[in-house]
Amino acid sequence: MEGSIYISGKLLSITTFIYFFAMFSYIVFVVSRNHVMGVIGTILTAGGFLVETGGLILRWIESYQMGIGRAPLTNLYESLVFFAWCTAGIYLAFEFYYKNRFMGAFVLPFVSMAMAFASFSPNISQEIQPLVPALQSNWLIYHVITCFFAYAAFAIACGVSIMYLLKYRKEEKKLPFGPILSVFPTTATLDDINYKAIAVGFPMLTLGIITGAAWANYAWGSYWSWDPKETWSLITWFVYAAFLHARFTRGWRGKKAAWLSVVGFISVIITYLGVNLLLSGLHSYGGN
Amino acid sequence: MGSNKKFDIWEFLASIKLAVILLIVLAVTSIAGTIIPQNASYEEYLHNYGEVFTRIIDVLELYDMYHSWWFVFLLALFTLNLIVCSIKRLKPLLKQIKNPKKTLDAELEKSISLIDVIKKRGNIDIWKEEIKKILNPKYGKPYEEIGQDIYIYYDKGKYSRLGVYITHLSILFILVGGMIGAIWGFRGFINLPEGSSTNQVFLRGGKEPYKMDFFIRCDDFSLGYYPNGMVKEYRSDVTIIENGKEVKKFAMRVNHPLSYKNLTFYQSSYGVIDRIAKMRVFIKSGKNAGKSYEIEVTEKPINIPFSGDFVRVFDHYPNLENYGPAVILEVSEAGRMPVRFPVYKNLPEADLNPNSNYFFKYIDYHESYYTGLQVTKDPGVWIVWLGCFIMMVGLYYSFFVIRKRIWVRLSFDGERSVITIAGQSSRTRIFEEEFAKIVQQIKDMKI
Repeated sequence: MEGSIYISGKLLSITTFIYFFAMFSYIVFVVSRNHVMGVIGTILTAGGFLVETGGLILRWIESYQMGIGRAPLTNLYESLVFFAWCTAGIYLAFEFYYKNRFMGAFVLPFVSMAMAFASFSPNISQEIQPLVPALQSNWLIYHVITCFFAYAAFAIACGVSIMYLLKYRKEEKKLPFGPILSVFPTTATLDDINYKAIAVGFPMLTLGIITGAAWANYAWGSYWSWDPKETWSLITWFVYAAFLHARFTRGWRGKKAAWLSVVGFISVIITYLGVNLLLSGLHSYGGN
Repeated sequence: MGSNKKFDIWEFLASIKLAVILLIVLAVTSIAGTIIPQNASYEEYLHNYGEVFTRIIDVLELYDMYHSWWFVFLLALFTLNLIVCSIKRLKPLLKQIKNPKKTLDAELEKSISLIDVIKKRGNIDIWKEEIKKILNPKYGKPYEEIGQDIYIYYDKGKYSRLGVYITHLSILFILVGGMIGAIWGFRGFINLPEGSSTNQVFLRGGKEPYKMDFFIRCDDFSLGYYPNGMVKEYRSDVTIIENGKEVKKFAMRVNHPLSYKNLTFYQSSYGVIDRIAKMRVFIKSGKNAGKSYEIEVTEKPINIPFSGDFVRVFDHYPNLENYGPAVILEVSEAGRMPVRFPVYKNLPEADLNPNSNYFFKYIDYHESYYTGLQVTKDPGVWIVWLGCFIMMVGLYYSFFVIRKRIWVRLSFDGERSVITIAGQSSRTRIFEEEFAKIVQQIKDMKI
């Protein structure tokens, strides 16, 4: 890893390690069912979240000191960091609300992967760069915050859906759950958490697409041009809309809905990273 | 549809299953247009995909797939599904909202899971007032029915079930707005050199240019830079001229479009028309030796005064080899090959073409630009924004407004008031705790 020239960069590097250990603790917790490991996981996640919050604020301040002055939400590095921040924050809220730490082992990997990708990938610039003219708009903040809030909620939904599918596989065949699966929440609870996360994520994604459209209309004179990023965000929206309707359809509840949640998150990743890294289009400035 | 029943088109179009399948089909098919480049030329497809696949692209209109016959058909079917499905479910729902079950009778008692019975000393009328004191602040004004027994009914967030249909309606708004834009709107462009004006907008697809009933003039185009050399802004200062009068001046930038009448202008591109270097040329020898003239050198060769020789601007650097701004001139003298050499602003004495008969001093340099404006007319855009707003309202009602119902029945068993309280919510988890608290509160109450 290149040594960051910013103090914020140091804080964010530390965050990467904290989240990594948090993930590790949660996984050990699930495997060993040693309660202490779960508590450590929570403490590390909360600590990482606080350090990261400090890092993000500091990066914002540093950009002002450099005479650039912009929110830390404008390139791939910053967006990955912000994604990790949102996911960790929402995860902590869900853990607190549902009083269940087992989800951590399935959500923290997304958080630490995002941070590791941001910190270690040689292709991702950590520099604080001024904004190109197209990005100089207040819509940027509304658009990015809503989208990433949605992505984070979907990450949690995906983690919980994986838990659901693991548990359901046994339940379906009436096999015993074994030591690990038996301490997971019931499939009904997992289904409930999955729905709640998507119930938060879906309106946020909708708002993200709307703010993006409004901004595109303001900057380019067209609210929708079937650009790959736009189209993929719509694909994601279709998948989660299908999920929401599947819950009211006989034969689509439960397992198929959980799969839709997993597919939805794959679509999120393609929307977020795949389009920038593989396809070209109006969002290409986000790719460095 | 049962297998022994006749195929019912209304039931088919009203089914949520169709909605789920259509959403998945729309999601999957939409991928094609993000992989296959859209609106490329036939030759490009042939080159990239070969003959067979190009034929498929042609037949399925994958070159413009989001407007292809089959994708539009899918969208139309989806819309129809959405309308039929909503109509079918909305009618009974509205009836239910108007006339909900307000009294807690034995039948309801059996079907409800959250229920509790509390017995208290005292009159039921007093207890009614006490219970309302607890519940009214949380759930609003109740429905009351007073007979031998007293019935109270709270229904908070009863409109949350309409959220889904509000959301569905909003999609229709967005689609209609989009269609209006596609039919009565257009997207075009204007390339406007500094200092000139026009009323013509060029449309894509080789259509007749659109004539505006006013003129737009570009007074100046400029680029702004950050200290590190990145472009900070593209700016066109423009004037709107109507009936020969200047009616509006505006500094157009990216993210700062200009709206006038029903058109909107966007800063979208620019280009260099000419590069102009103001120079003083000194004649070294010949009959004008020692004389000097101020000249404006352009990209097209110009004549050096009183000679048969030519000079033109070949290039310009804002900072050449760390000596600052420099113009590269190309001098063509009779009987010699053209020579290119730099003239530095900050090195006025340096003669980097010593064999020439001319010596140049840098006075000034500027570029003349044209600005590229995108012009849009979209009469449907406000319907789209209205649709987006309605969609957020609908989603808010669907996901964040929680319906909570509470039934209370008060009866007197000859000795004590019997308070039967039942509750129901779309979010059982949240509501269970809340309900337990209320019951506890009533139990703890004394009069």
